[in-house]
Formats: sequence, C-alpha cells, structure tokens
Amino acid sequence: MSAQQRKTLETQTMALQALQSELATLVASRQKLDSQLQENELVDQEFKTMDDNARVYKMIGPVLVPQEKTEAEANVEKRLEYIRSETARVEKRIEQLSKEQEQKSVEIFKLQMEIQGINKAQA
Amino acid sequence: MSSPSPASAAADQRPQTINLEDLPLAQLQKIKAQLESELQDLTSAFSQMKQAQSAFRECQTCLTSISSPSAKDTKIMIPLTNSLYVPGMLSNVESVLVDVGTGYYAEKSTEDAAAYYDQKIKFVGENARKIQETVEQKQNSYRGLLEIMQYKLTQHQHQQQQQQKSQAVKA
Repeated sequence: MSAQQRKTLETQTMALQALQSELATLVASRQKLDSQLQENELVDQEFKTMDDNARVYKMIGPVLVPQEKTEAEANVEKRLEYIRSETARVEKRIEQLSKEQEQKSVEIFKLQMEIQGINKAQA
Repeated sequence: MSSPSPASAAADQRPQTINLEDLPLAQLQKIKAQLESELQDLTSAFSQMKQAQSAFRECQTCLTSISSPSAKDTKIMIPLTNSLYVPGMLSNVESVLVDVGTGYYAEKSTEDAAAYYDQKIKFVGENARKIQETVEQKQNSYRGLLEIMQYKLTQHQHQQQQQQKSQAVKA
C-alpha cells in the first residue's frame, strides 16, 4: 500500500471528524433554539390573554422595570420571528452537513476497501 | 373502523422482528446502547416535568394562604437572604406579580394567578403523561431487544459447543 493512499485516508478521516463535530454543535444549538422558541411562545400566549393596560414588568438585572404591555408583546413577537429564522438557517445547515458526512463516509469506506485489496494482493 | 385481519397484522409485525433477528450481535449492541441513552433522557425529562409541576403547586399553596381577606395586615418575615429576615406586613392581598417567563413579570389578581398556575400544572402534567407513554413504549422495545440478544447468544454458544464436540470426535 502506498504512502499516498495512507495520507489521503488520514486527511479524509480528519475531514469527517471535523464535519461530525460541527454537526454536533449545530444539533445542540437547534435544541437550544427549540426550547427558547417554546418559552417565548408561552409568554406570547400569556400576553395575548391579558388586558392591553395590564401591568407588565421586565426583569433587568436585579430590578423590575415597568413596561407597556403592547411594547413587551411586540418585543416577544420580534424575538419569536428571529428564533424561527435562526432555526430555519440551522436546520438547512444540518441537512447540508449530513449529506456531506454521508458522502465522506462512503469515500472513506471505498478507500479502505482499496487499501485492503492491495494488502491482500501483496500477501 | 374495521379491525385488521390477523394475517395482515402478522404481516405488519413480521418485518420488524425479522429485521432485528437478522442483525449481527454487534449491531444489536449498538441499538441497545442507543435505546438506553434515549430511555435515560426521557426519564430525566419526566422527573423535570414532575419537579416543575410541584413547583407550580407550591405557588398555588402560597397564593391561597395569602389571598384570604383576613391575611391583610398579617405580620410576616421577609427573607433577604437564606439566613437573614426582616419583619414586614402584608398590605396588598389582592394582586401578585407572576413570572411569565423570559424575564417578564405580569401583575395579576390572586384569582387570575391561581387560574394561571392551574393551567400550568395541567400543561406540565399533560407533557409528563406523554413522556411516560413514550418511556413505556421504549421499555417494551428494549425488553424485546434483550430477549433477541439473549436468544442469539445462546444460539451462538450452542454452535460453538457443537463445533467443539465434532472436533473432539474427529480427534
């Protein structure tokens, strides 16, 4: 087996590992976005059931600051929008990376078969 | 809705079982590990749900204890830290501030707050129930998997013994 082949196998495996770790961080961030989305949705629902002149406070550091309910509602809605677009972006990237990962695995498998074949031929 | 005929039900189940039995032990081991980690995640989610539920219940108990009109002007001790208290007086028993999430607090009447917690308790309870159902399903498939693995293992041992026997006969 040639040193050349060993080298390509090595670089390919490294590339696969890099892909896998990026995929893992993306999946984790998708989970985080998901839970944020849920929490914000619940708050949004709660605001919808409340009176427009209901008293709402926002916790900023250790103090509660009074806020207009309509303003708070708009704020949460904006956040929901942002979270949804982020989720879509992350999901797209995950899809793309999964495909790449699959391709890499197949390539590596082929390479390994080749190397094994040569080894057998030599033996 | 018509119930499926026995034949079709069997046909539905067959591919799954055959699939599992056809897989090599190493593969089964992998599936087993995956199922185990899923089960663990689900059980921890379940206990989190239960914890959240009891936290909401506690909020409700507190609400009922301060919301009666006779509670007004009662002396209470206010915790400033875990170990430092100052005396205080309940001056307002009609409304409370409720944490609705993401840093927002809403002023609610005690009745509204109680209704809010009621709804939360139901919501969380419903989630816990769903999780429990999934846990039961997973446990069933886990048990099935273990049985198949056991079967495969004994079969494997049996084969080895026979091989040894036949070798002994030859010798």
